[in-house]
Amino acid sequence: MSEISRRDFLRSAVLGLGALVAARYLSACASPQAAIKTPVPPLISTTPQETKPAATSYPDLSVVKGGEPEALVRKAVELLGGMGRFVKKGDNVIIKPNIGPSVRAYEYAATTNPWVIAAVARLCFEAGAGRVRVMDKPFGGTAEDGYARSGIKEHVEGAGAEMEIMSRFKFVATDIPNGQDIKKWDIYEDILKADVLINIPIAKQHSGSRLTLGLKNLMGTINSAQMFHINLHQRIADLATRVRPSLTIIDAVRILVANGPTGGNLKDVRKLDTIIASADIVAADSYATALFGLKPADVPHIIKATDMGLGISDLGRLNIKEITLGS
Amino acid sequence: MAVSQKNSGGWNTRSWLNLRTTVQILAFLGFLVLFLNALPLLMCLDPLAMLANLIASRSFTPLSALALIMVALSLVFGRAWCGWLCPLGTMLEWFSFNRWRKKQSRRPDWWRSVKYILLMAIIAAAVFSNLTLMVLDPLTIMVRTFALSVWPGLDAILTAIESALNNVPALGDSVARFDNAIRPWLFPTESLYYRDGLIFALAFIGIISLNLVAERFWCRYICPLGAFYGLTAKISLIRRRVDGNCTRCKLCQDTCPTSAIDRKKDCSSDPGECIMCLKCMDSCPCATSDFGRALAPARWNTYDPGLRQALMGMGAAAILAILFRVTPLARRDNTRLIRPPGSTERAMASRCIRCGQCIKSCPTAAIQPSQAEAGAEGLWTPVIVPRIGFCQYSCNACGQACPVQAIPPLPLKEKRTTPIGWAFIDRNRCLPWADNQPCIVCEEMCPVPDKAIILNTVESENADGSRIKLQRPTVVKGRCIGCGLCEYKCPVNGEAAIRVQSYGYN
Repeated sequence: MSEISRRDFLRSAVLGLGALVAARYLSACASPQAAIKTPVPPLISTTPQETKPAATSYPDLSVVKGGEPEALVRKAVELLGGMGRFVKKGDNVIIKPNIGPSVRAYEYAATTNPWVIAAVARLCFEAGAGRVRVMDKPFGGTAEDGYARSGIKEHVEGAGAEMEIMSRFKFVATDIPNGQDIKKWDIYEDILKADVLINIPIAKQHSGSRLTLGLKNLMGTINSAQMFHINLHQRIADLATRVRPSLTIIDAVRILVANGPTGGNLKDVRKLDTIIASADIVAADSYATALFGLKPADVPHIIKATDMGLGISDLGRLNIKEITLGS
Repeated sequence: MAVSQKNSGGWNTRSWLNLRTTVQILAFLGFLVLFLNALPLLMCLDPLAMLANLIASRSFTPLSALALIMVALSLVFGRAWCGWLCPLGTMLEWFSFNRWRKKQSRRPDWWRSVKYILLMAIIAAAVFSNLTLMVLDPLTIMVRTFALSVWPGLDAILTAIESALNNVPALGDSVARFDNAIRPWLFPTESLYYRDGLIFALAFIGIISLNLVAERFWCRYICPLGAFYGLTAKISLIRRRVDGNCTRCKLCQDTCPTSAIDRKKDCSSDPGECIMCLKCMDSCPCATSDFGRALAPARWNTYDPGLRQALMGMGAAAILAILFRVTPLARRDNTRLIRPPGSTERAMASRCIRCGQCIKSCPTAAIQPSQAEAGAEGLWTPVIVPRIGFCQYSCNACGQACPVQAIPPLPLKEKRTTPIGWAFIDRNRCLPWADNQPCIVCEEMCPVPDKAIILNTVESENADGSRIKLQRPTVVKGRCIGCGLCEYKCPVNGEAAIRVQSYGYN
């Protein structure tokens, strides 16, 4: 065996150390530490009256019943003043439906109605949106499978919008300064950076959060959802201080009244043909509790969100416009 | 027409060698396609796996007849599989370490017997319905290593690069588009984790490193599939021939990657060792060797299988088969031995060829290679480890991927109602049971239409004497299918507070 020369030794030492440093650098880049620098939205809910004094004629909440999903959505948004109120020309829009369980077709009311999502996407484009993406973080299977099986991929792409599979490297540790229990969590950065976030939950029974509506649906924007379940109600409200949809449209075309949020029995599904829309996520959720024969006070996270000033849960204080199509 | 140096029909040595390289690359890409899509076709091209499975299971899988194509090919072209098609052989050639090894050194010829003994042992063990030694088949090694080490490794590298580039402001958008458009074709969207990836990687590196001892060490001395083709090659139609003008210059012997050529035997080669790589033809300065028709069976060498090797192989198999029957598992099942849907211990023992295609097919990495769960006999058979991955309710991929029906191809509807185990709540760990903390994750996740986990609202006493109302989960036995989503999602750190156990009815 030949002796190793000093030059060889140095060369391999430098190479090895360089590789180590490079590996260290790469893995450091890989860990999502850079906190998002987007401005934290104001805590007080931006109900129409507050942001647009001139538009007081718009109701706080619209409810439309009896019709095909697309017609329901169009009417509900029109009653709120049209999509142009929320989406400006060239806006980067993200639609967040509930594609929770990846294993069900839409009939089981475990995932948001595909036609409702497609209608919202079309409305966004009609209002001049530059880019419309639809995304959620399904559980119990892969996102691809969930997107396809729910029927949502087909209809969203038919409307010209994109289905985005949430990339794991885009969940970034984000400060939640107004949170009471959680001060930091991994949140999907594109959702924080989007010009407009539209929240389209489906109304479902849920054993942990009682109901899953607009506020609960925001849990699809984060990582480590299991750990979130400890002190769930407070954490849902905390998250809602940071992730602020401009518009919440509750899909109650079909609702799931038992065995939620996963479903699987058609006997647990009620067809209500109803759409509830509001810029106030708390108001929309509060109204939707009635679909299940409940009151806002029955759902702890709605109360916590109200207490934190995220919106209005007292239905008596809301200007509600309720119509039935074709009557 | 014989394959020779002579320029016949525009084909010279160079063109033949180029053809072989092209075929090798295409075959390797073909392997990757079959591997990535977990197609059962891959293993059906392996006559050793199909034969051993046929003997061990005493049943015939129609698709396995495809292996006869490979047998027929080897009856014409000898061990061309090894030199032209085998993905492991190709990798051994790409990482030949020729530059680092001293000149072609001849090793004791009896080493070549080892592969024949292994072949005999596999066949003899199959008679006892045991297929453990199939872990040595080159295709199973390739699939296992790629599924458990190579692919997860590449995935980790890609993710690290994506994460790094995502932090570069101008690139973020294109990285995301790449991630959405390209990744689903090659890699899972969520990271998958596998047991023992490092061990499989090291074993593979070990196999390749044997090239430092002798070129294609694996193919020469160990590979049982090579031994199988070595036997058919003895009577193959096309072989290497040497004519009388040979000057015994020994150049071909030094070139031959399997040392199949012996100068002492007139520079003739043993077709049982020759992998038809044609390198000897290229090296020959006198154009005295070609590859053409030969009708008489090849000569039998000392290392070729005889009574001695057969007895050794069968003896090894018998000892293994007996040792496997004296493990504690023969008395008591391992509660964590959860098999993929529809498969039984019996089917697993007598059918599973350890190819690992089910592991690759599983989108959630629920299927892992067994360690101790199935004993030494069941080494690297598929087990479901819910804490690493759960069995997806809307997936029946493993049954479709299995080439030998060790996992039956259940229709989705049937798979959804086929229990693979039962969930048990560990009340000493479960948050609402042990700690009076509200948690309902297992119930929330349960994908069975009528939830197999129900919540009962109870009043409980805290340590300080105060009372609290909370929901506590209980498993409804008849409804649980053992998918393990609850165990996977349980927020308790480390071992879950709800765990799936096997039935123990096999």
